[in-house]
Amino acid sequence: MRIPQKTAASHQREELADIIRKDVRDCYQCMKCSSGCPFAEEMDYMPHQMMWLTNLGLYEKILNSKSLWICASCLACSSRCPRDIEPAKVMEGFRAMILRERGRTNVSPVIPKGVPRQAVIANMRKFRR
Amino acid sequence: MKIGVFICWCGSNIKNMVDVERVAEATGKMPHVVYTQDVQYLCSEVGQSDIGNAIDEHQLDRVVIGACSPRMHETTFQQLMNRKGLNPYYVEIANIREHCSWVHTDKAKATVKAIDLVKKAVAKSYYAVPLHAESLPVNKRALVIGGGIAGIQAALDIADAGYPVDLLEKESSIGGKMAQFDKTFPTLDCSACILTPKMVEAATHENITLHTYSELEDVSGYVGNFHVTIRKRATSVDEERCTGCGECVTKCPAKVDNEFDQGHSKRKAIYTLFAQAVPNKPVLDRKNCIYFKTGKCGVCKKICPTDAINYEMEDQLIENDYGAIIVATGFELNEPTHLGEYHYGHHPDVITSLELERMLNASGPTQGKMYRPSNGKEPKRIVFIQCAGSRDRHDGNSYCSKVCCLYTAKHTILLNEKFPDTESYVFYIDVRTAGKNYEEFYERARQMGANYLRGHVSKVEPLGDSDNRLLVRGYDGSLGEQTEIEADLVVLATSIEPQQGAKKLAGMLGISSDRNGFYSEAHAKLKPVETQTQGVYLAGVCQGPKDIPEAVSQASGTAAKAIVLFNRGQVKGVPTTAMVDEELCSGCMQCKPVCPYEAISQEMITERAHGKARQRPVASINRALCQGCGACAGLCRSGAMDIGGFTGRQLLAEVDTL
Repeated sequence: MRIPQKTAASHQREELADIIRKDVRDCYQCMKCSSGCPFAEEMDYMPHQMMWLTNLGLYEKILNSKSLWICASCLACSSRCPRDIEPAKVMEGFRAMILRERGRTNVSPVIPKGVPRQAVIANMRKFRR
Repeated sequence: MKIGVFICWCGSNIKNMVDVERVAEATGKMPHVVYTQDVQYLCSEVGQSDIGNAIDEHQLDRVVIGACSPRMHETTFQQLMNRKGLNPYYVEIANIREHCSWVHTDKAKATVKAIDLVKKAVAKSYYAVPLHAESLPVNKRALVIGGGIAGIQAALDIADAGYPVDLLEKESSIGGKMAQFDKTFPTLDCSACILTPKMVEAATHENITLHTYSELEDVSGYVGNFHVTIRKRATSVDEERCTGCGECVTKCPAKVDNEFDQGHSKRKAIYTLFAQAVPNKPVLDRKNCIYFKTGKCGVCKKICPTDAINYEMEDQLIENDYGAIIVATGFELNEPTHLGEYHYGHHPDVITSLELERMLNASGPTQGKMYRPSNGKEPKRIVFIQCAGSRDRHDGNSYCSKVCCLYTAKHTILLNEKFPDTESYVFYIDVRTAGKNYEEFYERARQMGANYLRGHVSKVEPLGDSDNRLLVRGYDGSLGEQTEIEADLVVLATSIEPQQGAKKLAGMLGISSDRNGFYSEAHAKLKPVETQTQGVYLAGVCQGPKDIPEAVSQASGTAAKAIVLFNRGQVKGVPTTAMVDEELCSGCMQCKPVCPYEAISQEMITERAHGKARQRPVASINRALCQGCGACAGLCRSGAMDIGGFTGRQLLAEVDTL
C-alpha cells in the first residue's frame, strides 16, 4: 500500500469526531481490542487496524470494509480499551457516516456464512428489521 | 591461631541449595578452627554481633566467612574486624552464593562444592598477613575534561563547594552538544535559554579556570596527586587584547562549511563557534585561513582595532596538579553513510536528526524555517527513521542510543506546532519512554498527529519526479502490510557513539572502556560514577548514551565524589598492592613493562656481601599507583613479587586443600 497524497479531508475527520466524541489519536496500538474481538477472524480489517486506518486518515478503506458490518457491537473492545477510546463507538461512527450519506435503504446487511446468531441479532438491532 | 568459620544462609538464597549446617560441621574439623556457626543473615546487625561475640568469647584472631561475593560485603566485615581491633585482612570470604548456590541445581553436589570453597578459604587464612593502608595527601583542585552540560555542571558544583576547578574544552567555546539543540524534551524548554546562563556562570566563577581550544596532552600520578599537561592550541587571537568586536569575522574572505550547523551554513576561517559562545572571542582556523595557505591576505590583522591577531602564536603547554579528574567528554554522532539503503549522502533531502535540530533552531542556519536542501522548498511530508545505525548488529552499533525516541517525538511536536500542515510519519521498532513525564510527552506527539508505524524501513530511494521526492519503503505492523510513503524529507535518528579520541584518553587516564567504546564505571549499580582508577570519575554520555537530566545528575554525582575526596584531605591507599621481596629480586625489571599503572620503577639498594657494601638494583612499587592487578607477580621469574592478601603461599594453600 502506498500512503496516498490526499488523506481524509478535515471535514470528514470533524464529522467523525462529532459523532463519536472520542479522540482516536489516543490509540497506541496495543491491539487489545483485536485480541478479544469475537469476530476478528471474519473481518477484513481487525479493530486495531480500523483504529489505525482512522489515524492515518485512510477513510476510504474503512468505509469500504466488511468489518464495519461484521462488528456485532458486543462492546467487548470498548469495555477493555486501556485508552478509553471505545473502538465499537468508532465503528459505529463510520456506520453512521455511511447511513447519513447513502440512506438506510442503500445499505445491505452483510451476513457471511457461519456468522453466529449474536451477529445477526446485532444486525437486527442496528437496522431494526 | 584461632579461626572462626561463619556460614551465611542469605535467607533462602544459599540455604535452599546448600546444606549450611553440613558446611559448618565439615569445616569445623579443620586445624585451628575453634568455632563454627551458621547464621540467617551475616551482614545484618544480628549476624555481625554474632561474629563479634564469637571473637570475644573464643579469642578468635581470624575469621572465615562463607557468604555472598566479597565484592558485596567484604568492607562490611573488614569494618567489623577493625571495630574488634583485628587487622581487616584477617577476614577471608568464600563466595558460596554467586559461585555456588545461585548457579547449581543439585543440592548434594552444591553442598560438597560449598564445603570445598570454605575449606579453601580457611587454608588461605592460615597464611594471611596483616596489611596496612597508607594515607596520601590530596591536592584539592579538580580537572574537568569536556565543557558540555555535564562538564559545566560538575565544574560549577565543585567550584561552589569552594575548590578550584579547571574546565578543559577542545572547541573554542564551552556548551557542547546541548548548545546545538533547539528545544529539550519533555518540557520543550529552549536549550540555549537554560544552557547559556550556566555557561556564563562557569566562565565568571571565581573558582573556575576555562581552558578552551585545549586538549589533554599527558596525565601521570594517582588519586589526589595527578600531574597533568594541557595543550592549549594556538588561537592566533590574543585573548587579553581581543574585545570580541567581531570585525575580523565580518571581513574575513575565507568561507567554509560550518560544522556547528552541520554544514547547512558557511562560516569564516576566523570565527566564533556560535553567537552566545563562551568565551566570546574568535579563533583562527589555520587549515582554512588564506594567510596560512598562501601567505597573502592578513585582512583580519589589518582590520583588528586592538591588534590582537598574532599569526606567530604557538601552542602552549600548561602543567598542573590535580586531586581528582572528571571525564565528561560526551559523544559524537554516527554519520550514516554506511547504511546505503537510506541514501544518506546521496540525496540531499535525507538528513540526520541533528541537521533537523539545527534547522528548527531559531538561531540556526535558517532561523527556524524548514527547507528541503534539494530545492529550498518547505517540506510537507516528513518521514522519520528510528534506530538508523543503533540496535543494528549487522552494520551499526548493537546498543540503543536512548534519546532518539524522545527527540523524534519532540521534532514531530515542534513541526506540528510551527508548520501545522506538515505530516510526520515515524517508522520505529520500539518506542522507549522510560523517564519522568516521557510517556506523556510521547503521547502528546501521537496526539498532535505524528503517525507511528511499527516496522523498520528497508529502503529509501529517489522517486525521480520533478520535485525530487523520496520513496520510503517500510512496513506497517498494525495493518500488516508493506507501506510506501512519498516523502519530501527523510530524517535519520543516527546512533550516538563515543568520541573518536576516547580510547586514547582512556589510555592516558588508565580507565577502561566497554566493548562499545564507552567508559566503564566501577560498578554498574553501586559505583556508577567511579572508574576502576581511583580519583577519576565519569559524567555524561562518555559513560553511555543518556539524556540531559541524567547527564546533569551524574555530573553532580561526580562533583560530590570529588568534594568528598577534597574534604577528607587524604586518601587511604589500597593495601592489597604488589610487594617486592628485595632479597629475591634480581632487578631484571621484566615486571616494569607489564605494569598497566606504571607503578614499578627501579631502585638501588645497598647490601653487605663478603664484608663489602655494594649497590644492587631492585624493583620498587609505588603503592599509591599500584592497583594490585597481579601482572608483575605472575611474571616474576624469581618469585620476588607478591600481591598483598593474595600471596603465592596463600594461593598454593588454597589449591592444596582441594
